Amino acid sequence: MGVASSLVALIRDLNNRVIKLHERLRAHEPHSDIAEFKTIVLADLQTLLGNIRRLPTNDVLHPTLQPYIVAEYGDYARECMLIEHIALPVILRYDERDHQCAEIVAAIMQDIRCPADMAPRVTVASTQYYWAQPEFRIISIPIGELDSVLGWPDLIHELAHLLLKRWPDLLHPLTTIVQGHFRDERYLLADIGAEAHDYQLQAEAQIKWSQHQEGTWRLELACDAIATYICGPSYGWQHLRLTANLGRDPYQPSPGRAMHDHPADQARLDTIVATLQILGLDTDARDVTCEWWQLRDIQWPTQPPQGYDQYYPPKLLATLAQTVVDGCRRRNVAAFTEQRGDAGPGVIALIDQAWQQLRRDPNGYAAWEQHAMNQWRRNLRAIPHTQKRGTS
Amino acid sequence: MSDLGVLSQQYQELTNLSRQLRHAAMQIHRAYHHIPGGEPNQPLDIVLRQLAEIACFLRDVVGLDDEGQWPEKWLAALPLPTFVVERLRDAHTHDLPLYSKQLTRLAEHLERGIPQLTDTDLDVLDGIILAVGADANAVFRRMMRWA
Repeated sequence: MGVASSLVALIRDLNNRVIKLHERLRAHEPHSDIAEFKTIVLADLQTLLGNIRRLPTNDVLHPTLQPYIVAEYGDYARECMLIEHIALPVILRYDERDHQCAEIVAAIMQDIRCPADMAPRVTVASTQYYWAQPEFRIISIPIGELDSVLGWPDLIHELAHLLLKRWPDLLHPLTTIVQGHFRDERYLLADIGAEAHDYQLQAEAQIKWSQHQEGTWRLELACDAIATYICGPSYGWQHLRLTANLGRDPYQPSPGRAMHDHPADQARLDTIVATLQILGLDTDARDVTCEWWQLRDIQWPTQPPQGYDQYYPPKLLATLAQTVVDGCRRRNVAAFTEQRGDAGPGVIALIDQAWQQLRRDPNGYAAWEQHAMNQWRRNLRAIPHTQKRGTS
Repeated sequence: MSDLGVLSQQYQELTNLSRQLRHAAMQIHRAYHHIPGGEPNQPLDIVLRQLAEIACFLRDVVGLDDEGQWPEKWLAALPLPTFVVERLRDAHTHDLPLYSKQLTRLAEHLERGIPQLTDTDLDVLDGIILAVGADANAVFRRMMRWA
């Protein structure tokens, strides 16, 4: 079998696989929450099938084009795998607990005045903590998190990723500032006759702060700022909890150490605190910072490693927080300060109360949480959420 | 966002970039080898300019292991991820000076148009495009935990 015929066979096999998945999904009667997603995924499979059938198999006869056709085929094969491994399980396994999570998410969307059509599809089945998949607009949470209000700020962080996908221009004002910052820093380095190593640190940081594929720090920090804008101090407390659970060095990644897609936990904390201060929540910012220091100082060095500020310039962290707050306000996203103390069915207020309760009475927290969640669910079912909040 | 979320986003962006460059390169192959068919997404002159810019970028940075030495204009707007540059640098460890010259020539020839291109230019171009695709595939495997 030559290259051409084996490639044609692979294409035919992929075609058959997509047909099988399409038939499997079409035969499934989905939960009403997820019925629209089923229609979308069926359409995606149909489009994929069309693309596979349009693969220019005649080009396989031209040796110079063969690698390109193989690459094209590979793209479609992976697209098929993404649908099979990520989208289909959400639809086929959707159950009552997923529905309960969807109710929470719908209530959050209402709380923060985001249109319902931006709401994610949810699945309570994650084995990788909370994650969001922007292409399918899926958020997955671990099994135990549905019944644990304290972790829900991380649900808001994942939601922020989807909001940023919908509002890519929210961070545009930051791009020029980031470029200007690193350009100025390079001039300063040149002025003092710095070593090549110093330029290297600057370049690494600039790439992680950029708006391109590798600019993941800017994205993660922006989602931290959005989550803080929405959740207030609860997001800071949850950040402390997660950092303690994972036992990470709060200064990593830092210069000279392995690079990661996620920024250092200390930089994330600094972004959270900056956002709280912009919202006028100075006391909360101080409380979170004090507890962070206490937790950090018993496990890690109290001083950041050399060059740390070049990776996470305090000025950029503060500017990012301000950019996010301005962007959210322009889009009329409800800030935490509008929710605090709300006695109604709001999820944001519930999360805030939960963290206050845990800190006030850790021993009585479990009973309080059980009662509060039951009460919240009763409220939710008694009156449609839309009528309670009076928002459109 | 967990690693899965970050990788998923990176994969999508890399796949889009890889597909865009692949279609551009196929368009050039068709014009060079007079292969009929294909539906061009963009005019050929734009495609040539776009790929010439990428060749210029690689010419400027492939020999510089230290990103701190990269020209400011590229750091501010990277046409390719740094992983692709590393991949190509590793692939040409033993012939980096020659590869730099080939990139210079590829950039010049792309700017002048199809008749100026040579078989070597197209081999160098193929190497770049396939490196971008390989990078996207690597991210996919990490995302699915098959790496």
